Amino acid sequence: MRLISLTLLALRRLANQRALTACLLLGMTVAVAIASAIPAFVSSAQNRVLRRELADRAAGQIRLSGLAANTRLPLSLKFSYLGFGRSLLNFDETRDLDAYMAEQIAPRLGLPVVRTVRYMSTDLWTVLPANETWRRYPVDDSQPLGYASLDFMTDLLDHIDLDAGRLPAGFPGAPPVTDDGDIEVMVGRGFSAKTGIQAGDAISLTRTETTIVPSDLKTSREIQRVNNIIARVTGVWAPKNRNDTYWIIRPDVLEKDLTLSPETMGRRIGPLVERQFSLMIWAYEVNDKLLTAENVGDIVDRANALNAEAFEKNEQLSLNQFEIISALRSFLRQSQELTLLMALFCAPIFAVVLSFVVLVAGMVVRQQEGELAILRSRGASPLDIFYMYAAQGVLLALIAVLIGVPFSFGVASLLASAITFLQFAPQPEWVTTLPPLSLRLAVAAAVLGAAATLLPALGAARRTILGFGAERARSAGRPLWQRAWLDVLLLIPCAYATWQLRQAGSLVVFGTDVSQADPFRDPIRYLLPILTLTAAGLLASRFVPRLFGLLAALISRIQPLTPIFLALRDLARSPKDYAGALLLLIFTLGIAAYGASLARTLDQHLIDTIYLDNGGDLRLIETGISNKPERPLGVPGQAPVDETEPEYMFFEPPEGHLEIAGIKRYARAGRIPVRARTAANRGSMDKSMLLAIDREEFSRIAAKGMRDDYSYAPMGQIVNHLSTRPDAVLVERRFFAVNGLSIGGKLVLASGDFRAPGLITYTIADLFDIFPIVAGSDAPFDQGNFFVANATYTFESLGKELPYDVVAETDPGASVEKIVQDAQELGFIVINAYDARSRLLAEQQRPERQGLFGALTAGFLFMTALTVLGFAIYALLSFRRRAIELGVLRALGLSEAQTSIYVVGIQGALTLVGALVGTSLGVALSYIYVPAMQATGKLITLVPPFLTRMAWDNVALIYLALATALGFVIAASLGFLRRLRAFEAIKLGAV
Amino acid sequence: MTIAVETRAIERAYGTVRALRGVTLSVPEGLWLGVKGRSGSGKTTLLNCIGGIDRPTSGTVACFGRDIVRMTDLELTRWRRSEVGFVFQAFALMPTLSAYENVELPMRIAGTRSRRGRAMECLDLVGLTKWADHRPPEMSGGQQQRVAIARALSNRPKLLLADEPTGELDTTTSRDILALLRQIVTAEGITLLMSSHDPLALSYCDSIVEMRDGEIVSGLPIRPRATDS
Repeated sequence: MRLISLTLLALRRLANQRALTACLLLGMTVAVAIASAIPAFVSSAQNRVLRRELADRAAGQIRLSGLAANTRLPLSLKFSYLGFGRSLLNFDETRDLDAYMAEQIAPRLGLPVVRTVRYMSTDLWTVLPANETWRRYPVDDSQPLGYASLDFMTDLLDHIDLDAGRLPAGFPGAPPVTDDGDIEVMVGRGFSAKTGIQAGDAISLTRTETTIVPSDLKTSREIQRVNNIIARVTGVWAPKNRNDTYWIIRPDVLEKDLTLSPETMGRRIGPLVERQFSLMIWAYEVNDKLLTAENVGDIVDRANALNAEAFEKNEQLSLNQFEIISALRSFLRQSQELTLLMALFCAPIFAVVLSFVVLVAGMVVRQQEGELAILRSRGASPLDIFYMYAAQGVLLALIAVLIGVPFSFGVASLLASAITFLQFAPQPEWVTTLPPLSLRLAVAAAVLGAAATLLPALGAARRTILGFGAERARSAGRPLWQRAWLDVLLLIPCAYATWQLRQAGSLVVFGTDVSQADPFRDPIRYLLPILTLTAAGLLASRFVPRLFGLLAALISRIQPLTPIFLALRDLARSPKDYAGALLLLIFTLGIAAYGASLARTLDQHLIDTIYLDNGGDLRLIETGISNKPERPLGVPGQAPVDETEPEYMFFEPPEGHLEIAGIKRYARAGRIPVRARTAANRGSMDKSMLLAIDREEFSRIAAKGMRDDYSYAPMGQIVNHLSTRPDAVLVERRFFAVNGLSIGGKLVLASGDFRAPGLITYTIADLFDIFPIVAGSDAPFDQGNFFVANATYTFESLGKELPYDVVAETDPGASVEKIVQDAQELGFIVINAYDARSRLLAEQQRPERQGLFGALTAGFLFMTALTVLGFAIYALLSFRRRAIELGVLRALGLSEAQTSIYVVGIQGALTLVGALVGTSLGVALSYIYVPAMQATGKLITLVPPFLTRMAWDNVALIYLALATALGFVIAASLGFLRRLRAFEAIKLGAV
Repeated sequence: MTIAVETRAIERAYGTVRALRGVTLSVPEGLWLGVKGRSGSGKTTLLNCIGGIDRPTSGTVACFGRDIVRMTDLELTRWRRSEVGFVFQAFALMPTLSAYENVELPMRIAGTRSRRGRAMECLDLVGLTKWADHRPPEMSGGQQQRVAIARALSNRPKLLLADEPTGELDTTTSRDILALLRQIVTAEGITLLMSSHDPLALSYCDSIVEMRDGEIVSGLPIRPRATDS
């Protein structure tokens, strides 16, 4: 009864405090929606990776198998037995294996099997014409027509047409299999065309069987038995559709064998030879629509287990690794990387959501403290208060889940449409399913929200009305975490881990061995930036009140600034009142600035990498026409080639590139293998590369690929030094140091191109560390050396031109295919073309990259939204709480304008300081941790190194959002202030 | 005899509720006038209208010859800064400020240059010099009310308005506070208007008017007192 009355009281309180309840519900709903949306979003991204991986593999298979490009390859798990020598099977063993596969393997594949295709074949038989067929083959009878296996494949009849004859005995509609007489087979159209065998012909099949028999303990002997059978070709078949995915063995391969019915195989062929079955395949086509990112791990594990089990059963039996499992394993590796990234980048979002819920809950409880104290004084026990809040929390959590979970579909869809940071695809990809984790996290977020309302309530529930007054007396004191020095305690391990990180140089987040990069094994290491931000934010907030106090002291004597002084002094004296809002601001700005900068750095790094590798917008790999063209060997009628004559290449004048529509400017960039001759190495160095360029144009075209940190001075300046003299050469700084060279000194390079051997003497003009094309992302950066010189001087020194690449600056919308076509029409021989923009687009559309940017975008948007919301709620409640103070100040003579300045001063100073501290920490984090995020891996290359880029424009967006929220809050506050009646406020009660 | 406060037929209505119904009152300078009446009788509304933190719906309020009803909001604010001191039932001290800072606050708002001496003087007057650095929540109710009185006196007002100043205090503390007010009225020549329904508090007044349903039902002076021991 008591519980019912308390529950009713709790509900009445919720109903009576509609505004506060709505705020809390909003916070919890957003928390639930985010918690639920993130896994859905991750799952969607993972599924995209999965589908892409499967499609890539299928495309590869389709290319290999010669299937039509638009063939849809289903998900198929293929086991095979491949025997030879002693491991050839007899027929009974094949039946055992069949039974084993059907009973032990197929039911445990993890996905429903929609089709099973089984194939078996014997070892090769020598095919000779039989006597009656002989007449048509007036050739040496010792020459076989070919070699063929005897085979059959399940459901074959559904996929072939008979070109001629009839089906062999044992097939539906054909005569029954007899124990004597000719063995009936059919041949494929290919075999028939190759051998001339037709339906009705008889062929002789011969196979020598070697059996090793131990004669005593020490010796063994071989027994050879020649098997000979006469087979009758009853028909010639051809595949109905060569692109049908039924063909687990390419039909053109199968056509070369002799196909017979399973019954014939068992009754006639099986008993004939002891061991002859060499290949068995069981292909299980499963329902790939049921394959999801969630169950792929289980399926791969199960496939691995079945593979191991099959191996146990027979060492020759295995799951075909080159098939789909390989693709799934590849997905799992990528998925792990994606999950790791998501865990890394979503952790701060959850932290901010948590902060938000705690902040709002704390504000709600704070609003109710007086009421709780009265309830306690009127006889309610702490347990009653706890129960009341628990009832409120459960109800709110329930509503939050009901609203938040459907809302999360939209949120996840929006995130899944992220192209890059804060940019979405015009047609968003809708997420239509929520993984189980979404619901679990949604419930967890709701429970967390409810718990967050309980914790502050417990503290308040302990106090009676007198205790409440005493607590207010202490409210000016520092928060618990400050009194316990938790901020400093947290900062110590963070500082130590950061020091370790800087020693190690990288987080190995994007490492090749992702399995080692488990965030749950070493969470501090992976969450280090966030933990550091937390510690630094807490520490900074310790000093914020002092800053306000200092500012207040500075302006205390300036009479016109009295309202500001009062605001600053109030902030300096009541840190506990705004600690939550301040921390939320600091964390959000810090994480947002860090996240946005990481995203910007990654984005720019991709551009840097591609342009470093490509040299410019477009790189055409061209060659010239040789005076010694390649000719087929031994073709009669060809003029003899003079081997002593040196090879010359003839090139179209490169200026012709400017005639091609879309090319704005071009430069030659010849890559010439060279060996450097220095006193130290005496020409023994290898793998070096000289890039011979048209300096002036190249430096303009490759501007995007040349960062100023690629050398000790700006790259433009470095490249310009090539103009000081024709024989100028730029040398890699490492090579320069190792060999004790000097600027202005000579460097002799020996051409390694067989067409133009010779020595070229250069003068060292300047140094670089990284240079476009030669030291791109794919270059063996740790091996060999790179030099850059003037193309004209280099080719003149060699006495001839060698093939060169043409780097070009192109119009943004120019078609590469069209440019190549035009170039070829103008006589240029274009071997390949690398388009930086296409590569950039392809990279940007990689799902894992989208996932990463989606997470960063999600974090940025949610944190901004929540912080703005949280701050607005805080500011409005704070204003409401200050109404009595404002009334008193008005009564004491503060004018309406001054009171407005006081209100604006409090909110403005808090926002400004919080934002500035957060941004400063974010900037510091970016410079400390972003470079450490680089390591080898698929997604990110080591060269060039990360160059931290601050995304000030995105940070400005948060400032704008905050300013808007602040404006709204101030407008609302001023509106309230205009209606404020000082006497009413004062009458409300104690300040 | 100078008239400190003179109201003529002031009315104050909040919607359909008429809190004051044509109150006419004349208070000589230096008088401690008690306004008694039950809750809701209009005592506080009358003091608010006289103190300029509320405006009557009709009628005039003249304080030391100035009609405050016709003042703009800014003029009224400036007038309050220099002429009026308030003492509220719930003390209404700023919790984040020390006793000294609370007392100094009206002077800071008014732009008074040398504030420290006057603030300490006021604190000394209420006997709280040693508590100057303590914040209100660390003080007893009586001490807080003393700080409130010191704050009300800090800008040397001619008129002191006290709304149920002993409403939240025990009898002993109330006596101390009332004695203090008596001393201030006598020593500083301040006019004090005090609302209360506490007979003890009213016993300290020079004159008392009784209000009922927004009207003065018994005139003044009832029991003039020049001094109090």
